[in-house]
Amino acid sequence: MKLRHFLHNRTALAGLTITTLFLLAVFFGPMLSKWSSNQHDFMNALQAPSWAHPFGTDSLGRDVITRVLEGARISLLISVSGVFAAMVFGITAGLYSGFYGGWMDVVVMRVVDLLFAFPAFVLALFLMVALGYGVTNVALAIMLVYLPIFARITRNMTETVRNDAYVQAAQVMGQGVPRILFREILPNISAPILVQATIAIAFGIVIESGLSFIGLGVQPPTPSLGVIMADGQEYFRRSPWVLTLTGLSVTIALLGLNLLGDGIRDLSDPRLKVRE
Amino acid sequence: MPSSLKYFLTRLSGSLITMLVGTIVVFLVMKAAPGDPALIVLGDYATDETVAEFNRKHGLDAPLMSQYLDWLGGLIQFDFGQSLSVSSGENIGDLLLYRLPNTIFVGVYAILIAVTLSLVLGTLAALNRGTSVDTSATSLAVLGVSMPDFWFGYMLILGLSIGLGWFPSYGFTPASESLAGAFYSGFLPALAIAAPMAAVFTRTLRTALIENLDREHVMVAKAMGHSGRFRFLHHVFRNSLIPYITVVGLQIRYLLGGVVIIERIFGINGVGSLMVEAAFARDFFVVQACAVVFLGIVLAVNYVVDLICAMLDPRRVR
Amino acid sequence: MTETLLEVNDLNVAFRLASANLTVSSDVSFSVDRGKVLGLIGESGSGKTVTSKAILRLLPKNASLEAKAIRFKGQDISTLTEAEFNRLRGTELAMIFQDPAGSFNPVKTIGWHFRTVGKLHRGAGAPRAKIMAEAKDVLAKADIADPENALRKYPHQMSGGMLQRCLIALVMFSKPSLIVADEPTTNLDNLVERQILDLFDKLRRETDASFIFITHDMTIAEMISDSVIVMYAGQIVEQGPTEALMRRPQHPYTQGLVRTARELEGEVETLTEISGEIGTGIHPENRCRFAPRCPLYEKACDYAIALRPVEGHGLVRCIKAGQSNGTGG
Repeated sequence: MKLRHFLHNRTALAGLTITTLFLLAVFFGPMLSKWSSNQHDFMNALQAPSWAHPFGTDSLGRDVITRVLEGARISLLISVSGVFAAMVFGITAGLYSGFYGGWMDVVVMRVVDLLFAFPAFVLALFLMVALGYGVTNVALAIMLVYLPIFARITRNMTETVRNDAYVQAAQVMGQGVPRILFREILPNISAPILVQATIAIAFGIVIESGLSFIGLGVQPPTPSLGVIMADGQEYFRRSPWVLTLTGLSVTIALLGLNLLGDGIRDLSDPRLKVRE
Repeated sequence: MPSSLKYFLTRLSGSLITMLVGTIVVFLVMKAAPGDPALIVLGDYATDETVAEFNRKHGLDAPLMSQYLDWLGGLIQFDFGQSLSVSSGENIGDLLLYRLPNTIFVGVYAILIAVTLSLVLGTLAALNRGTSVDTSATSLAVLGVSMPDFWFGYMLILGLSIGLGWFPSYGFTPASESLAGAFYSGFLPALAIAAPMAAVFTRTLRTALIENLDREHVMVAKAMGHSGRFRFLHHVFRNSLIPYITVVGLQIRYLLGGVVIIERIFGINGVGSLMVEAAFARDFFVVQACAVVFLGIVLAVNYVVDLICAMLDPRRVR
Repeated sequence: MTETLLEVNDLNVAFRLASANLTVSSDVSFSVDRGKVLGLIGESGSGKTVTSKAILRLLPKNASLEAKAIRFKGQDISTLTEAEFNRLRGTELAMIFQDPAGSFNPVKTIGWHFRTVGKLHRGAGAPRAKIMAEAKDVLAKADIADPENALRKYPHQMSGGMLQRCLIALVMFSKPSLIVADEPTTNLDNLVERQILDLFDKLRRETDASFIFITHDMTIAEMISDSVIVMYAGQIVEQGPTEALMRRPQHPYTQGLVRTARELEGEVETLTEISGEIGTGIHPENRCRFAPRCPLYEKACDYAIALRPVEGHGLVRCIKAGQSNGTGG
């Protein structure tokens, strides 16, 4: 995939721009803010958006945009680590089961089918009850939701390239199986996995927000996006901006990630891909 | 019919095995979960005797294997045991029977909305490929998948309920009481659940239609003199239904996930909100019952979708 | 005695692309007589498929089509509205495509295709039993051994050769006057190709339909057609009666094609003998388009060259045509 192509694709470019801005804001924004995310100021509770507080203040007088930026960092971290773990295990399982086939494939795919049969959010909820609430367990839940997807994609792709010339050449040259799987096959099937990863990170944020929103995920005072929205929901009728603007920020961030995924998908289309 | 019958039976046995393994996993995970059901119900200061008494009453002193088999035997007869804390002592089966219809109503309602929206938008986008109509529809679709459904739910409340006062913001009239009332009070929650699904369906349909529009048999049909309407209905749309329905089936997983939160926000007495309440009350029995019910719904829907697709696509039955 | 069925006059087809307009067929004129077979020859990119699709108005939306006239049974069909023209498709003008497997809707039975075409052309009121009986007849004529069984089958359950027979039968079902066959045997293996060609040969003798038979293989054209048109880079470079053209090809390109066919005795289809590649479609107007690959190239070829009649042959687009070097193989 050439960078030049990437920059000429409007979808990819829009996605990349939004995602980059989002990351910059999340990592540098809190530093620039003159408020801190847990600085109470009861005199200025529940203020409407203004220049001083672009997203207004919450019931404890905390600056919402500062909290959102910090919360986004936490939510993103949870989602990324969950998705990353899902990729590590899912891709490994998929590579081996696609390469070897046989009973290993049957077992892996049965597990995948089972995980697939649970509604994503129900699986996450179920795990929260079983494991307890908190940051680590939310990430673990996201991992279990996404593991089957990565395993299935990787397995199917591996199966299609297993008999390609370059794989056979590597085998003939006596390369070890792990080397063939991770050095030869994986780079060649990375595009759809990458697409899925960006979408997974986006949806991981939704899962985190959802769990924390109903109070079964990240627990206050840790400000994750879901926690902030749950907070905003309590006084939604009186001051709707906390929930509205936080959710809008989430939507824009997810829009960036989804567009980025779409762009990569467009670009990795076989018609444009030259592999030789 | 032998080959198709064999196909149906193979798929059915696959689903049943997944269901069985699923119940084992749910059971074991709940057993491993922190917290002793007896202490949850009786409180931390319960005496050893009362705990033992409680465990004997609920069969929790039996070996793990026989506990599982007892539970499984109950499941088959829709007997999930008794609620621990969320609705103490009540038969979980009754709880579910009361709540399941609401969940199914809202779920089906959401699917209907999502399917209607996506049929219109997807078709318009595909037939006007590359134009502003297409761009608007696809942009709307990306926006749809990017919104957290519960946030969209609140936005609907803000606009259509608090703002315009057209719909209630909370509460749900069960269909058994008033069908019209159920459609009315269920509209906002169903729409909130439907939005991200409609987006996914629209994209799927658009891609499938575009792919099928370019197929050779469509041009052959044109060369035969078939009208544009005939070609679209019988060659393009008909064939696009196969990936479309497959994706509708796959999305059930996300639909039911959305149902859980949305039921809670809109105060719908469904299985989703029951599961959340039970999670707060650490009512393990109800949580595992809800998990099994959701598992069953997903597997059943996927099986039906498989059958429909097999009927629509003769190549699938070998 | 021979009656002209189709007459194409100065047909031009271009594709509008983002960067440029791509001319794929320029000033093509020819006619087809009733009951005759016209062979249309050229390598891929020569404009033969586009030309034939243009006759049935099957070109994609970004194609522009201009013609002085396209006369079918004496009537200019280039001025018909789409609805009027559509009435001719299938019943008067029909087309058979390259890929038999892709020509049928994969999720419908062969019988469904016959039933819908039957209803379309015989009216919705036509009794189903009668339609299906006629379908079986026409399938039997296309050498399908068990028509009853074939009608029940899905496309993926049949071989390419069988499907091509079914497609030919489906086209013959509505008794069109002109059938365009676009390389109908290219995707089939040699033995099946032979059988399908025999079937075409039989059909042309048994019906009074005319055919435009598109191929890149001179031997096939020789076997099946009464007259031949050779296209190169969107232009007709030579046309005439099959026998004369094969015996004494006039254009250097045709000579190359004929020589290749003779040498390989029709076993392999390749044009490697003619070095170079066909142009991009954006052609310099004032030059022989074959000049870059022509062994006989000279300065005089750098001018626009018209199609002109040559004694005892048809039309040739070459300044050297009619001279002594025009002897093939």
